[in-house]
Amino acid sequence: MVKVKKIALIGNPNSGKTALFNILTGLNQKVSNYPGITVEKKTGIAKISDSQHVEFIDLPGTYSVIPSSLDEKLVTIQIQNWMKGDNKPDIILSVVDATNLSRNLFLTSQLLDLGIPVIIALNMMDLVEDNELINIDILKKQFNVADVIPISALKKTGINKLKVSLEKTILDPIINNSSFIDNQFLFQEKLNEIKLLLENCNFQSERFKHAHAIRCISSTRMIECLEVDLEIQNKIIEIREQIVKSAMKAGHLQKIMEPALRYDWINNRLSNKPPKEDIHINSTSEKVDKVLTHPIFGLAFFISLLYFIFKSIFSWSSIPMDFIDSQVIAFGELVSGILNPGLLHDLIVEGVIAGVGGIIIFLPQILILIFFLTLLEDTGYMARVAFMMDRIMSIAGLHGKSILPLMSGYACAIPGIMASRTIESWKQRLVTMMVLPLLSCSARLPVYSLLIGAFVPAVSIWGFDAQGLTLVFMYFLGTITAFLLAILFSKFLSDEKSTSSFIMELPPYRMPLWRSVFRQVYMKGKGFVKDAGKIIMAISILLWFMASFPKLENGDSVSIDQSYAGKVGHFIEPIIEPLGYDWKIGIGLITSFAAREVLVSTLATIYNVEAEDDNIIPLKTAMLNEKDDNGHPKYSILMALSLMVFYVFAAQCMATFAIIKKETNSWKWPAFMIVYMTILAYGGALLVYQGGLALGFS
Amino acid sequence: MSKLNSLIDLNINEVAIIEKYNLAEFGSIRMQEMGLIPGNIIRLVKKAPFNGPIEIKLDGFYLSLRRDLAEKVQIRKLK
Repeated sequence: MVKVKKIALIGNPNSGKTALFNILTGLNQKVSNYPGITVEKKTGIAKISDSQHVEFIDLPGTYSVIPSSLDEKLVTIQIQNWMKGDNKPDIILSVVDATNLSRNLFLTSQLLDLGIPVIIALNMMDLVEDNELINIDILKKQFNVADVIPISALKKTGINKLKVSLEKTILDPIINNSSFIDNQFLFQEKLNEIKLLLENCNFQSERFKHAHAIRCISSTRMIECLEVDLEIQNKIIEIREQIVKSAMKAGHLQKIMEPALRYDWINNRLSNKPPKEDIHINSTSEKVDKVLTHPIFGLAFFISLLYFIFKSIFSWSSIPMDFIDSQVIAFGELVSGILNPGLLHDLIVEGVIAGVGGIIIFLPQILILIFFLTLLEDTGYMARVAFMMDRIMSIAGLHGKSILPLMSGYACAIPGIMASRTIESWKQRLVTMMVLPLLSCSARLPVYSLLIGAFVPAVSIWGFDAQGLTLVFMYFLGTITAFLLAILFSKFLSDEKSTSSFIMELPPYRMPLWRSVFRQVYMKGKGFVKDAGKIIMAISILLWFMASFPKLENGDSVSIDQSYAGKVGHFIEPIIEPLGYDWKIGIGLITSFAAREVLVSTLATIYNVEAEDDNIIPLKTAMLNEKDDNGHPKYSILMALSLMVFYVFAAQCMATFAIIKKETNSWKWPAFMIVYMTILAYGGALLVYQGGLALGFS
Repeated sequence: MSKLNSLIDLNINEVAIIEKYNLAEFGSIRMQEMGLIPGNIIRLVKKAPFNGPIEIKLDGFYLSLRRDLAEKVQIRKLK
């Protein structure tokens, strides 16, 4: 069989690269576990003609081969590996934003030195006001690329032409052989010394080696990326310092730096380049930003938006949730009727259906939250939030770019931790990861939702509804604690040499690509159901077993009190009694160490195992009906608040521990996280419950 | 010829040409890659309050950067 040809997509963030990848590969993608932002390599096999199947590779968006964050470094390392002859792609598809030509061509021109055919996909041509301004043929000739194809990923135009061009280039590869490196470098001898040292990297392309040597002079970050001995790195750093010193003395530092040299070359190519847009023109986005990033109106808008989102989570979801609830009950009854009474019947109805059903019901709320977060990101608004919040984040030792990971944390800590890879400084990234799980993720939502729905009265306080307000308070509590702890952690974590900086593009506001938004909501929703479903299913079965056994000698069940689960619950009851919890909730606390939402399915399973009735009882009703020894309602609003505060702070998510271990390469950080969060959770809940009792609430 | 200022000395909507920066460290390289190179023209769009980041326009796009970086860039105001 012929080897499948490989095509790598490389482009700036916001160039529409991922949208193009989605169009080219359709649904045949092997997407990483955490879609949304491209933080890991995605591949997809697609047909570009009747006879040609190719593999597309989508790499994270980057501005340059010199990386300034971890996700950019992934691209750099990938390119270096290609240059060593490892899995080199057959074509590089350079996705370029036509509205921002010269800056996008910077990266393209770096790719031209790789000795791989480059095709430029000139995206967003529909947004260029006067098409005549960009001459495709001249662009193709001047930059010596295999082809230039104008496309619009938004309107799906130009895609067929692109496929034809890809096939043509596969059959007849055209490789560029001119670039800025052909110009004389000021310190040619020193440069040759570096090139000699780069022999250790085994780069196969002479042109790439030359360009890479200049990059090593431009930035020590580039030298750190070279996978060579420290000794060789230090030698390169030494030579670099000599060159930089001489250049500074002569007062022409920028003449040895890649950016100036390269832009010089690019601008000479673009000799008939479009006249620069008048610098005085206020773009539509700039006009909109007069309000949206205004110190007062901008902040007010942001806060109102957050309130609207959290309110929608409750108001929009009630109908679908009621529907799912009734379907789960009906399904349980249906299955109950089919199966003969016995162990299997009990396992399926009381264990699996009650447990999994208890969690599926919250899917609408989770989808709404993910929908809004995706929308904020795709419209370009999130970058404005980063701009506005940078100052306040710097107090906590973080910066504006931490906003996106942190906001993603409201959906799920895991994509948030992955997104933190865009943060330049390791220290800031570590602090971001450590406090991120304090932000209430969607797995807490079922817990809040159950407890608020059951115990907080639906009354109005100063025109705000009490249930919504309680929910907002829980999110606020987690957020403010995360912020305060970030200040603390930043102080104690050893500082590193690399100074943190904040340089961020404010992309133009764009209408979101709806199919891409819904695709992301779908992918993340599917991920939640699959991942949560697996854990919940397993725990529900285990729990049902523990709650239903041991059996009495005549085969009857013991009361749940006497079961294995009951024994475990009773064992920890003394520890959690001061918080207002009983042994049933104690079982929930233990099982939800794996994942927070498991509390809900655990309680659902316990009450259903306990009930005489064969039908499924809604959990809310069961909890409200629960009586203590004197016949009074057992659970109060105070217990509910204490439990919610516990869930705001507690570290209960195996997946988070695993990913932090992976990202920090040590068990130290997940262990630290579990310890500090558990102390917070216990202390916070104790304060609420005992404080509440002291104030005379019950 | 007016004297050299740094990027943060600009007022809102003032236009300037980038002269140079004598800073070889990280941060400066990313600014240059984004097109903040000598000879390029920029306009100051916005300053976030309480010494927050600034926003500039160049080459048809908008960029925000912190003041500690911005003050390393020397510019000449254009009328």
